[in-house]
Amino acid sequence: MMMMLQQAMSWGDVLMGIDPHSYAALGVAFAIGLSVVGAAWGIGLTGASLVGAAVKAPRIRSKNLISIIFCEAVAIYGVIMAIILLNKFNSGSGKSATVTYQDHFAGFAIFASGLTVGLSNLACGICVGITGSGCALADAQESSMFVKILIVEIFGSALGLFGVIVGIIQSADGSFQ
Amino acid sequence: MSAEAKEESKKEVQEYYEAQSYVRVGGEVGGLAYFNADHGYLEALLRGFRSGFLKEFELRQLCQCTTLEDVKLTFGDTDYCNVLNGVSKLGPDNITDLCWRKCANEFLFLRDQATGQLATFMDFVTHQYLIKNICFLITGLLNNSDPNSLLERMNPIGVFPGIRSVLTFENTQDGMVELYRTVLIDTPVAPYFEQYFNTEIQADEPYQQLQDVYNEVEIDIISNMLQKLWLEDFYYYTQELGGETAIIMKELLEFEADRRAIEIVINSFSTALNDQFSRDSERKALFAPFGTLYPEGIESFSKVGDMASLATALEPYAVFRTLWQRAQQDGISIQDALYAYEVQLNVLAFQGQSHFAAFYAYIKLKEQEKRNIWWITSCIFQQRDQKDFNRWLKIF
Repeated sequence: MMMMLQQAMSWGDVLMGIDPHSYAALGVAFAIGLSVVGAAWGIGLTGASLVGAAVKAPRIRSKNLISIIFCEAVAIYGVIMAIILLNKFNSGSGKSATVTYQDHFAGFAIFASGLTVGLSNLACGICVGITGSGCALADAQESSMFVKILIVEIFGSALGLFGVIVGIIQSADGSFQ
Repeated sequence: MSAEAKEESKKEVQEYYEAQSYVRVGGEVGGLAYFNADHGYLEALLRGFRSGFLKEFELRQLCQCTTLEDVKLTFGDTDYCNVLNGVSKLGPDNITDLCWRKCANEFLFLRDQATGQLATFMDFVTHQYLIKNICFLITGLLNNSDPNSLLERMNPIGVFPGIRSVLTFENTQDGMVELYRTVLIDTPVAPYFEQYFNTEIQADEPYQQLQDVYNEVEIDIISNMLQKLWLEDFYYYTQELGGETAIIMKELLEFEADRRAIEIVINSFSTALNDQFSRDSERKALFAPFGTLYPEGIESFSKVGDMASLATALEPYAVFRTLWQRAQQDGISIQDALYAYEVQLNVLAFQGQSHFAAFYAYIKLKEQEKRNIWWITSCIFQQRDQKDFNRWLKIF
C-alpha cells in the first residue's frame, strides 16, 4: 500500500472538486427561476394598481396591458436563455470518464450566464412592475401621461435585454465534451 | 341544539369577530416593491375617488345657481349625480348630509376591503368620528332631543355596532362612569376614556369630578380632551409605521395639532377657560404634546387672553405669521386661513405613491368639500350677494 502525503485542502480544491455538470444545472435553474420571480413580482405590482384604477376609469384597461406584457417579456427572456443553456448542457455530457478543462469551462460559463440573466431579469421585472403601477394610476387621471411613462418603462425593460445579451456571449463557447 | 342555544352561539361568534376587528397591527409598511401586494388595489381605488372631487369650474357653476333645484341639475355632471334623486325637500343641511353619506359609503367600502396596517390606519381615522358621535349623542340627550333623530344625524363613518346603547346615558351622579362601564368599554375608543378618567382623578377625592352632572360646555371640553388623546395615539402609530407614511403623516398631524391648539385658544376667549388660573391647568391640558407650537408656543399661550396677544405669541413661527397676515389682508378669519393651508398640505399628500397618508388626506379634503357645499347651498338658500359666496376653497 502506498502512503499518500496529505496536502492541506484549499477553497480552490473545493470549487474545482464540484462536478461541472452541477454548476451548469444550477445556472439553468437560476436563469429560469429568477426571471420568473422577477416577472411575477412585476405583474403582481402592476396588476393590483391596474385593476383598482380601472374601476373609475375603464378606458385604461386595454392600453395598460402593455405594462403587463413588458413584465411577461422578462420571463420569456428567461425561458429562451434556459433553453439555449440546456442545449449546451445536454451536448456530450456523460460521454467521457474524466473531467477535462473544457468541461470545467463549460460548467462555469453556463452557471455564470444563468446567474447573469436571472439577476438582471429579476431587477428588470420589479422595475417595470413599479413603473407600470405608476403608469396605470397616472393614465387614469390624465390620458396624456400614458405615453410619457411608457418611455420610462421601455428604458426599464432594456435592462433585461442587456442581461440576455451578456449571457449569450458568456455561454457562447461553453460546451461539454 | 335548541333554537335558543343556536341563537346564543351565533351571538358569541358575532361578538368574537367584532372583538377581532379592534386588533391593532403594527410594524413597518413596505416601500415601493412591497406595498402593492397588500394595498395596491385600494390605493388605486382611492385615486379613482380623488378624480371625483368637485373641480374649480364646477364650484363656480354651483355659485351661479339661483335655486337649489339648479344645484341638483349642476350636480348631474359631477360625481354627485345620483345623490339628490328622489329628494323632495331640498335644503343646505339636507344636500350636505347626502353628499357626505356618499363619501362615507365609499370610505367604509375601502375600510371593509382593507387588511393589516391599512385596516388599523383607517380605523384610527374613524375613531375621531366615533368620539364626535358619542359626544354628540350625550349632548343631544342633555338637551332632551328625540333619540331617533339623534341616531339619524350621527356621522355615518364613526358608528360601531352597539352605538344605540349610548342613549342609555343618564345625567346623574356617576352617569359618565356607568356609561363607560357598560357601553364604552367595548368600543375601540375605550382607552381614551380610560386615560381621561385617570387624569381626572384627584389624589384626595377620587371620582369627585366625575360625579358631577354635566352640561353642554363640559361635554365640549371632554370631547376636545378625547380628541387630543386620539391625535396623540394616531401620531405615535404613524411614526411606528415608518417610511413615506411616517414622513407625510408627521407633517399633516403636526399641523392638525397646531391648528387645534389655535382654535381652542380662540374659542376659549369668552369662556371660563380664559381665566388666569385655568389657562395653565385646564386649557393647557387640551393641547397635544407635539407639533411646531410645542413646547415654546404652548407655554406662551399661558399669557394669551385675546386676539392681539395671540398674534404676538404666533410671531416667531413663520407659517402662522404669514397666515395671520394673509387673514388680515384678505379680511378672512384666521380659521379660514388655517383651513386653506390645511387643504394645501393634504393635496400634497397625494403626490407620492405607496403610502397610507392619502387615505387620511382624502377624508380631510372631503370635509373641506362638505364645508364648500354647505356654504354655497346656504348662500343660495338665503339669497345672498355674489361676493358673499367666496368662502369656498379650491381643492384640486
